[in-house]
Amino acid sequence: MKQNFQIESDRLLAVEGRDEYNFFDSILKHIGIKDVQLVDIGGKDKFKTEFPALYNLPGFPRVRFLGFIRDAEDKKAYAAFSSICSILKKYSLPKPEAINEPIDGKNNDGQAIRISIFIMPNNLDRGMLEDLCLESVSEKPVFGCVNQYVECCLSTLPESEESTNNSKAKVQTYLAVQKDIANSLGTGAQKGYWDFEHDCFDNIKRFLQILFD
Amino acid sequence: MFFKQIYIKNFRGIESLKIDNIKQINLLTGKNNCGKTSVLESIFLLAGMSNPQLAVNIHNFRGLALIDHKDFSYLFNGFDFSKNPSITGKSESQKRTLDIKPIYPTSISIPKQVSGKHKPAKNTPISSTNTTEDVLDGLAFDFNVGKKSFRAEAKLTQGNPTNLSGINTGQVNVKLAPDYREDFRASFTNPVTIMSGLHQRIEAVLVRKESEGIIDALREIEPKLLDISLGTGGTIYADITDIEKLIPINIMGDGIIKILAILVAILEGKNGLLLIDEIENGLHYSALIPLWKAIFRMALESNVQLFVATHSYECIAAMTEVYRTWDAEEDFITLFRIDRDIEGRHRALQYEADTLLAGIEKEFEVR
Repeated sequence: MKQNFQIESDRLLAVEGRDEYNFFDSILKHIGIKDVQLVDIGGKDKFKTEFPALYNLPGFPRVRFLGFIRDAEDKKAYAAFSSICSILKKYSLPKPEAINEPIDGKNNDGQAIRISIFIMPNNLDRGMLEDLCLESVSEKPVFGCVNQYVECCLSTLPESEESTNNSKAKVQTYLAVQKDIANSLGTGAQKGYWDFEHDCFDNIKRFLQILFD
Repeated sequence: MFFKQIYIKNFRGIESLKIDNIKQINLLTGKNNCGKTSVLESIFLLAGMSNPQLAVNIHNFRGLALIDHKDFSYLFNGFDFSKNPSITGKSESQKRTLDIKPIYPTSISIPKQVSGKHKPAKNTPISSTNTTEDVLDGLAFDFNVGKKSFRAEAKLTQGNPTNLSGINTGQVNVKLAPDYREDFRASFTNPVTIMSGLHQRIEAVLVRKESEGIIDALREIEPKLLDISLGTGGTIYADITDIEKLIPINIMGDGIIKILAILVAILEGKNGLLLIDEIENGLHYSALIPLWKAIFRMALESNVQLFVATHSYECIAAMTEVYRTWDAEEDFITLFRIDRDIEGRHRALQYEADTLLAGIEKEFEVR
């Protein structure tokens, strides 16, 4: 009998989608943090509708560490942060005072819980996980070619056919020229195509370590 | 009248439970012994609060006979007669409250063989001792609609009538509130009672010329169904396109007769309330999608509020999938998972429609 999704760890990390799931699974392994259960929320707009399903799971009262990571997208990071805080408020859970600042409090069963929120790419600006990944490989010689290729394409395509998301286009292009092609950012992370040792990942690694380690 | 909020206190195993943001179609899930059936029963009692006979009936539904007044303790949290069950329901236009209280004789002669100090019982219950239980005189349903208060009473006397389920029930003498007339319909059905008197109930539907809605809904399952009719000996027949003679509905496929029974129950509850326990019982999973299509259609047309308890993930998923394709102007479904917190207190964890849709899609556990 197929098992439905259940909470199996007291450490939960809710992320936007399958790519993020694979990416954070890889980076958590890279920095040696174990036993974190990742939750694929299914999209930036789904936190509001999916968090209640997560909260209502029988294992939720036993969760002691809860992280949220989502993209700022085309707004400043604070908008995404506020959106998650309003969900936490609805369920009477502790709300962090600021982005990337964990709060220790109690859940509705009076049990201790630590909650923290990280907004990609840098807790401040517009953008997404793709921007960090690209920055991590921006010093590689091939990256210049990726940039040139994408810019050349954009200058050739009619405006109506241009990609609306250059970061995603560059990620796909970069991954497409790897020896063993990866078709998504998350798979690229699993194959080691992003440089987890690059400084640009320091903040997110610190976030994970403070929350879970 | 649709309930929007229910508050249950001291009823059976439930010390306290609030259910809020109730919709027209409400699914109740939860582990065994979490209190789903008790929630259904409490809502049933509240809906029929002027009729204390229901306090006996709900035990019969469970296959349990009440022999004497002590058995009324099954209604009381911890079997303690000092903890009066209280059920409150709010709709947009009405608030109704039912307080169930034991009735004691106005004076008691204490049996000589019982030692210790005792006070004569008054109208208010005293602490639950064997002595007071022994002298219990019946059960009072004190109920309020808005600001008006009423009282009805039930007393058990020894007797051997047997109900439809073959249960020896004892005899119930009911004293109704003379100045109250209930105009709210409610019915309770479970795997034991669902088929009771179906032939007669369908006959009543046919006499009232209300079968069209049921036929339309059943066409979700059998598009070739033209009509249903009754034969002698309790047989229900279906008239199917291209088949020259009527065929017994029982042979038409998985659970169609049970679905028919559910639809009849919805129709009987027009503008009222229907409570269904273990809806999935006896139904193959392939029948669940057409079942929910038919239920949605009938419930919306008949303006019936439903509370449906189930253990079945397939049943929940089927309801959700039907709702996903339903062109709903506003949300009319929700799910409450009845659970206990770490301290053992009951709570109703709600899945609103959008969360249910997302949760089922991602295969989250919602039972």
